[in-house]
Amino acid sequence: MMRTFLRHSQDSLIRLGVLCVILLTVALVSQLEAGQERIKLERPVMMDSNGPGSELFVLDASLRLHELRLMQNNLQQYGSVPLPNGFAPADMTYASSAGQESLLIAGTESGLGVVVSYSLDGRPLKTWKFRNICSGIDFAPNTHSAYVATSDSNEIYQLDLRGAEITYVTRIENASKLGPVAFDGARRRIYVADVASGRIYEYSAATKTSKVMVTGFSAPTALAFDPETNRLFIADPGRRGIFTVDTRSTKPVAVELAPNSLKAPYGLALISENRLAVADYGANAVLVFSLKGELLFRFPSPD
Amino acid sequence: MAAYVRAILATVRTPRLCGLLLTLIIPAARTLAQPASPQLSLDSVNVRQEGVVSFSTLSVGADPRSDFPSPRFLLGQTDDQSFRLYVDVDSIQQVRFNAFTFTVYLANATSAGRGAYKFQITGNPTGSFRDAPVRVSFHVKTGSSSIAGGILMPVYNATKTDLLVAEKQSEPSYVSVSGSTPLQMRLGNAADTLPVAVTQVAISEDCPKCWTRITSAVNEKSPLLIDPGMTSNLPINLLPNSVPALLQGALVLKSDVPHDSLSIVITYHTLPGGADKKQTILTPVRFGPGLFGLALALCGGITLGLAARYLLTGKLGKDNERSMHAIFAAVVFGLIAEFVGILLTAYGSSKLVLFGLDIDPRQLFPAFILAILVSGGSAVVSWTKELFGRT
Repeated sequence: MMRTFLRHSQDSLIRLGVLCVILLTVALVSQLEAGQERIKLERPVMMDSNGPGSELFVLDASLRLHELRLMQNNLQQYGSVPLPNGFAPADMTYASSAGQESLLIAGTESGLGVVVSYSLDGRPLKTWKFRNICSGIDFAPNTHSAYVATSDSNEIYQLDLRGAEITYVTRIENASKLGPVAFDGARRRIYVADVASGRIYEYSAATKTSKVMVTGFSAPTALAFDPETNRLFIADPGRRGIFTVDTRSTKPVAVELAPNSLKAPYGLALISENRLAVADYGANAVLVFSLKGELLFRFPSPD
Repeated sequence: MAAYVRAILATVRTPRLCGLLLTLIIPAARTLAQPASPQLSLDSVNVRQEGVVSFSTLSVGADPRSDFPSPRFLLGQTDDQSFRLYVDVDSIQQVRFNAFTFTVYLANATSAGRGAYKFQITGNPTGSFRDAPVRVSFHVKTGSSSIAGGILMPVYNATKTDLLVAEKQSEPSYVSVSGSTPLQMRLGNAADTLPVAVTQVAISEDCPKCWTRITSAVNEKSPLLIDPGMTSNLPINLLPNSVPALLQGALVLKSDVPHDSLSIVITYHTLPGGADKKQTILTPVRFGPGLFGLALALCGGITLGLAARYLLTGKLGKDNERSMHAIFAAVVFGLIAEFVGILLTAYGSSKLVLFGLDIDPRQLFPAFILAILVSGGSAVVSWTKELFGRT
């Protein structure tokens, strides 16, 4: 009698538990969906990830900074914060220095170049001011610094993230309008795109010389360097594609990755598990590719 | 060896091998005779002394396209009319770092219908000019000769913000709480620029609880087009939340002080292919009770004024005046006072000042007070003055 009562009670408790779990899941999913609606991406412009890692930071056309998290085969929006009015961002990079994670955003404010360091929840931490227009930025982890390109003077500067110092690095002769920057820490090479002439320049910090690495782009607006494969990824909305270049090659050639799958690729970032996220402004979506160019998924999903 | 050569020559003389050689030579000769791809370059252009656009050209190669219908393709040609240049308007896109790209096709006029040469152009603006149509000079280089030409095409500059001019409001817009009020916002586009399409209207308010709904019929599917040098009305429909809106304005009596301020954020782009821009226009509004509310306020005020007069003087009208006549006179004069007050303050530059306060007779409380004073007559006015004089 007692045993039967106990078994019944146990069954009832299990049922109740299952019901609670189901209800909680439903509530959680609806909350997440509601959240997604509230903080909708409005044309992604630029992006970077923590690593390449599983967190993706995307700045959209309405100047909202979105944090997306990589799940198994999709992206989930985690939060979004607006950037202050009056700041015109040009490029961004994730930085982790002295235990502080941040996003460095290069751009212009009141006609002058600035780099602003933001905490991951969108609080401005530090500002570096320039006399020229800042157009590209990439983080150099081994030196706790960032390299910044200027589009009106075609110069490259180094920022000390632990201090306030800005050091002049070089001026790229013959460049028309420098844009995005990518840094190869192992070989101390800086890759910088010339948005106006469609060239990618390579600057060697060791020899202090620069050269044209590859040409034939329309308007290269984003770069990402993969230290694992020594490949440089280039987004070119003018040619509506993503290209990759083997930087170790003696005669580097741009090879198109995933032809005919993009409308206006504005930004890109390498993410975990050898994947490449692309901010497609024209498609109003973030597309994730394998490094072989296979489209894995997109956010928001088309359905 | 000599015998071997002689044997080969003898074989060459055979008709079969001659035919084979001919089939090999003819296509090769045709290939050699084909002209090299023409080179295209676009000159930098000065836009109204306010900035410069420079262009870089990337040759994509031969393209089979031979049909270039208008308005998708803008046409330009070389001075000697030997080449035609077509700008594909649909391909125009704005990219980061204040640049824009588009595709052009260069077709040989003498061999029309046999395809064209495709180029990808990147425009790099500097300065502070507005998006505008300009004449761009170009050069086509074939072999050693260079032929000049020109094309009228749009150029863009993302740094120039606020392309639209909103007509300045001299006073807050009147919004009736008794229903929806259409608000027409006048937007102007500067002359000698590109047409503008307003594609989105987003409105935020200082007093969210004062509004039930604020909408605009303008959206991406039905944009508002404003041609260069013209103005257009941006329609906005305002539906206030009656009670909170009336309460919001109840204590703000001065006619030039807004009850709420609307931030109207309009998203627009120039046509064709301009970048999306946002412009915020602030619109102050004043809530009003509407006709029904005003009528109620007047009736209430007249009743209270007559009651006060009766209490102060012991009668409703003057000596020997019948009660009905006095009530009728109070209603008529109350209405006249309200009507004249509205007319003077809303459409003229006059102010209605009561006890030193500049009031708006379209508001519930001022209309009520006005009706009390008019229907109450000199007895109520004197009593009020005396009351305020004492305090």
